[in-house]
Amino acid sequence: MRVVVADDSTLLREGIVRLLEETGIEVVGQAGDAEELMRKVRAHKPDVAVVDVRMPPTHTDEGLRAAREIRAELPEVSVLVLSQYVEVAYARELLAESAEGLGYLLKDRVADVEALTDAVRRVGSGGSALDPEVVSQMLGRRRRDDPLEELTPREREVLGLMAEGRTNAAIAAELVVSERAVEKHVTGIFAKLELPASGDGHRRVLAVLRFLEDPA
Amino acid sequence: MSGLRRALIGLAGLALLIGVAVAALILDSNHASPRGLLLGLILGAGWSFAFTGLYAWDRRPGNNIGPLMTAIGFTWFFQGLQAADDSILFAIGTVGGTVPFAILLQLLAGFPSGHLQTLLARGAVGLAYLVTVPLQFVWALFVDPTVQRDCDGCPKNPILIDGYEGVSNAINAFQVLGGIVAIAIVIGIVIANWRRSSETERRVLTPVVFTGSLAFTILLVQLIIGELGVSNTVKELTYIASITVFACLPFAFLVGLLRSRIGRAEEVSSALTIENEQLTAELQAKVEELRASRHRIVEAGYAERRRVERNLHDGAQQRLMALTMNLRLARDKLAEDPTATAELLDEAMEELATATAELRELARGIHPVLLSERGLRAALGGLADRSPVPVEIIETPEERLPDAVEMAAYFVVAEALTNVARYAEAEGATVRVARHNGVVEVEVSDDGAGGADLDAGTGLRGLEDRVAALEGSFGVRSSAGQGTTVEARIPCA
Repeated sequence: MRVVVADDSTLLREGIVRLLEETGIEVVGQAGDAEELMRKVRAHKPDVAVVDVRMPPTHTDEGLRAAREIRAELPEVSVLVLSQYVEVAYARELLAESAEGLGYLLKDRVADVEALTDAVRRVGSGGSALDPEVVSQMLGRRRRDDPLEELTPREREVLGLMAEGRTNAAIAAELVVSERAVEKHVTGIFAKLELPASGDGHRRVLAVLRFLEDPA
Repeated sequence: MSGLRRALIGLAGLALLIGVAVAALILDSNHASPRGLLLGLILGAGWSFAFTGLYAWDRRPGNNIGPLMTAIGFTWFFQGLQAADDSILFAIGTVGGTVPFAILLQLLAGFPSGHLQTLLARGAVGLAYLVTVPLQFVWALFVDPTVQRDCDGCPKNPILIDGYEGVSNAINAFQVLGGIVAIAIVIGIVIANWRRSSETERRVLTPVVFTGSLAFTILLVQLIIGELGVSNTVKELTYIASITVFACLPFAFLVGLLRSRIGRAEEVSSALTIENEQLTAELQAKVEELRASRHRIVEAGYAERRRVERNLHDGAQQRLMALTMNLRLARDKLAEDPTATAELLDEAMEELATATAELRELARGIHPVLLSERGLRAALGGLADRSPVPVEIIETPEERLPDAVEMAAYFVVAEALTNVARYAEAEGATVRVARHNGVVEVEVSDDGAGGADLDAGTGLRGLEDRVAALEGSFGVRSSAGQGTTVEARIPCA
């Protein structure tokens, strides 16, 4: 898997590069700002661009804008956005149309090699990766007449992992249960929340996220 | 020239003519004496009352004083008619000669407003008119001037019924008694008014009270000694004295009236002074309020720094210290106990993750990045997401607002929602931010226990200062069991 890494902090960028390379991911280019990122992405056509949200010149949301640009211009390049803060609003923006080949992770996750590489691989293979904190914010949001109260604790766990963009197999591995059991839970969740049944993959993520955003 | 002024000038001309005619009567009279003195006093008092009265009427058209003084001037000339050799004119002079004294009493009792304020004053003035008009007429029916007034040159009384002295004396006694009572009451009223008055009012009253009281006192003396049968010389002297003082009276009224104009100007100026003082006091209060609020804002800044310092010290700093120790231990055990080293490193990573999370939350509290990058709608959504109480965002402006306004609105909502979560025991809260007519209205309502107090905590007070700094207003509505509504109105052109 070929990756471009963009972060204006050299220290962090080199750290990320080293972690990725250690797990066998090939880093084909590095960038310190959005402009350089676009150049490198166009030149190398990597599988994934790992992008920091805040970069020069304004240090606000260059990464998000670059992510959208890359997805529009080079749909075959996936993007994993890293952010110092994760906000539901940013996740919503990023995943507005599609969750395919997109990820949004808290920057802290780079300390957890497995979480980072897992997200890179998932996104790189057309899946999605949403930070558990964003998901827990969505799940934790209190609502009147909360339909989530219908769910069992295990179903809530499965719902959260689905929202993060995990496959049934990954969920099964995470919860140490059989894939059959996960499938049963997923069916139960979709029935209880009255969501249209949908197959594995990014459509399922979008359905879950839309529901969490606006359960009405 | 106004109609009133033309009429007043006409009256002045008439007064002049009447005066000249009366003067001619006196000079031509075969019984008036001493002729020169009488002429001077009749004309002096008559004209001065008429002219000063007309002047006062012109200057203060709304006040009765001018018309009353003018009436005194005109009726005063009746006295001059008593010098007439013609019996009709003589009779008119006899009947009308006392009228000006009643008008004068009314004037004195009603000075300076021109209105009789009390029942007592109205009674006294009424009595004076009774004595000087109807009783005087009745009296005239029984007076034969050639007999009773030792006036050989006087013409015959054309309305004489009976010259019997007993009748005219009885009526006269009643008149004198009534006159004394009326005069005494009015002098009493005038003095009482004067005593009650302020310094400014006394400036108006004093000349009138002094001259008026003097004139009527002399008149009283005259009436009393008239009954005592003193010599004609004494009678004539008191008559002259009283007429002289009466002739001075209109000037006293004029001075008083003009002073009352000045007094009014002083009143206006003192009202302005009072208003000025009120404004100054309000301004002073505003300055105090601003000073206090500025002080609180500075204090809040320091308090915030202390909070950040304490959080850093208790949180991230402590964790990093622990991390350093763990790493040192791990390094020491590396060779002899790899398992323990791995555990220590795991612990270290956990500490690090927590420290990072704490730093992130601290940074978010200092400056909400979402707000500055995505605006109120997104930032309030973030607040709602993190609130442990269900929050419904009813309305937020579509467009971006000025930074300071967004910040203030955001912190109002943030603090209000924090309070809802902490104290309100609410089932839910609603947030509404709307921009109408150049004002951004922020409203956070909950359905909780209520009883919040702006003065109780520093949080709400801090919000009030934040909003006041933008010239906005801030309020809390909260009664027990009725929930709490926090409202802010921030100008935003």
